[in-house]
Amino acid sequence: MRSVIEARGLTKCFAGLTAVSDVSLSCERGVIHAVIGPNGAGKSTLINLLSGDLKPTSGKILIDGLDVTGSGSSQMSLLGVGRSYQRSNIYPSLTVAENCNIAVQSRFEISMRFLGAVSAYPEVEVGTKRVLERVGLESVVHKKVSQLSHGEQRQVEIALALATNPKVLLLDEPLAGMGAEESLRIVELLRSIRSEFAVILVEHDMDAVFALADTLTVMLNGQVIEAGVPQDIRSSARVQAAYLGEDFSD
Amino acid sequence: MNIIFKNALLAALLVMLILLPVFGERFYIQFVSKILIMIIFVSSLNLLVGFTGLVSLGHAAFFGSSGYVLALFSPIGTSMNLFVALLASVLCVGALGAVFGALVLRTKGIFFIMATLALGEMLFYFLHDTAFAGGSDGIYIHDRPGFNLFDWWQLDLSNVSHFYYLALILVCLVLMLIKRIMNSPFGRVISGIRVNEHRTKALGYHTYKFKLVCFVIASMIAAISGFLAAVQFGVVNPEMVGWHASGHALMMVILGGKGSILGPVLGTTTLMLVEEIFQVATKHWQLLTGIVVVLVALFFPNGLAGLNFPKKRSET
Repeated sequence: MRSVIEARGLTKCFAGLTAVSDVSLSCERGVIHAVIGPNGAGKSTLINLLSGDLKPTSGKILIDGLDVTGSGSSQMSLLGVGRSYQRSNIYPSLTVAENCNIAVQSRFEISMRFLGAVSAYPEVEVGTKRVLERVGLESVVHKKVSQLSHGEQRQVEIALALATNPKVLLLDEPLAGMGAEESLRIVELLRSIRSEFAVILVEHDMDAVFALADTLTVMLNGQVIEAGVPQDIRSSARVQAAYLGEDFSD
Repeated sequence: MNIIFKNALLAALLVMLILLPVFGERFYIQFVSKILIMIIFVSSLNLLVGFTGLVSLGHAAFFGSSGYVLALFSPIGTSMNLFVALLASVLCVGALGAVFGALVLRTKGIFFIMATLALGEMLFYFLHDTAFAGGSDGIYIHDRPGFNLFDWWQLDLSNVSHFYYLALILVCLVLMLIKRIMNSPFGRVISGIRVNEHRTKALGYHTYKFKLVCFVIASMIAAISGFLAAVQFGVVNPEMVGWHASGHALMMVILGGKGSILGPVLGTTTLMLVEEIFQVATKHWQLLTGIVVVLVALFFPNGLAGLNFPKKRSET
């Protein structure tokens, strides 16, 4: 199958530090591609490159085979890349519905209209309702996001990404700071929607990773040290060394 | 319950305002007119400061230049059609707002404040130091614009009651317009930019464009107030565009509570009343006014609008 998103030799240098070095990966629709590695491996930087939040020093990003390297985050979003952030990056002082309104209406040519009320645009209302049902936030529609629990805020984070109808979903530690029960709910959610997107998932929770991922890329110090299907990664000596420290490897 | 009470209060206030010219003295009609004009100006600034998160210290540039457009276009000896004159002012100032906005919106935070201040002051010194528009004396508007309804009824803006009603109608229209804007899809994006511009970009919005449109709308609303002020006083001068006027309006926004429709109404009315009372009482009125502002800022950090009424749709 053709990859929806592909990175070729992505490299990002920050003043002397090479955070991401020559990383290539790709992901197809219906596939969850997990990126794992110890802290500081460059996983979040990789996501930020793919989402357009950062511009790569070298390398290419292709979406549906089209070279989109250098596009900013708003262009990437319009090209079909939706993302969630590691630290919730939502609208705390707005209600859950308003949060989703903003995301949903970005796909319609109505955002410059300033006389009709939002409620007069059924496409926004319907889209908002749909995405809130999906992530299971129907009961708190009119609550301010700042009044929600951490787990619910993480759900809003994912809702915003889903609401833009993306082809590619970049999830940067969606389970960060969540309790076991909440994690389970998100894993269920991802399982139920996986067929519609190409998902690139960065996550520390290995139970979740191995429950969801079809393929894995393991990063260490900005480089890919191993890539493949879950069974191979589990048994890889290099991966074990990366997680446990070089000294323990033989 | 509280909403009903709030609406009843607003209705009563509106009735009192409508009846004021019937019972009120000339001085009070003029004074309330001044407050109404200022409410329009402060509301337009609140659209930037409170709703979009853009703190401008040069907003009076649009207030004052609107008066200048009227003064420069007014023919001597005859009176212009009110609506033509108002439209001309609003459109010219909108164009100026687009130019200023395109420049200043390239900056953020403190740099935005400085850039708006700088452009406002440039306009001030241009008007103050060149002979182009009367220099530091400004220009007199000898014949106020008016309106003639089929030779049957004439709107005469040198009549304080006529002027008062025009200002009252425009205030109501502007407040309704801002409410509509904030409930619209555009308003959602504007709120999004205020709360979290980074995420708004990541959702596919070219935020610069939205901020620019908002800046132009705010400058055009400020033009309405500047137009009315020029008509009321019959004169325009460079002080109308200076940073003092901008800062004064900013103070009213903060006093009333930014990010609410009612905030500018409360903030403007309170500050202008307080100033008026203290000016009569003492020549150190500015000291007393300052104390009042500081006290409000200390004890009501959300402004006067954040006091009694439960926050409805508009969030701080």
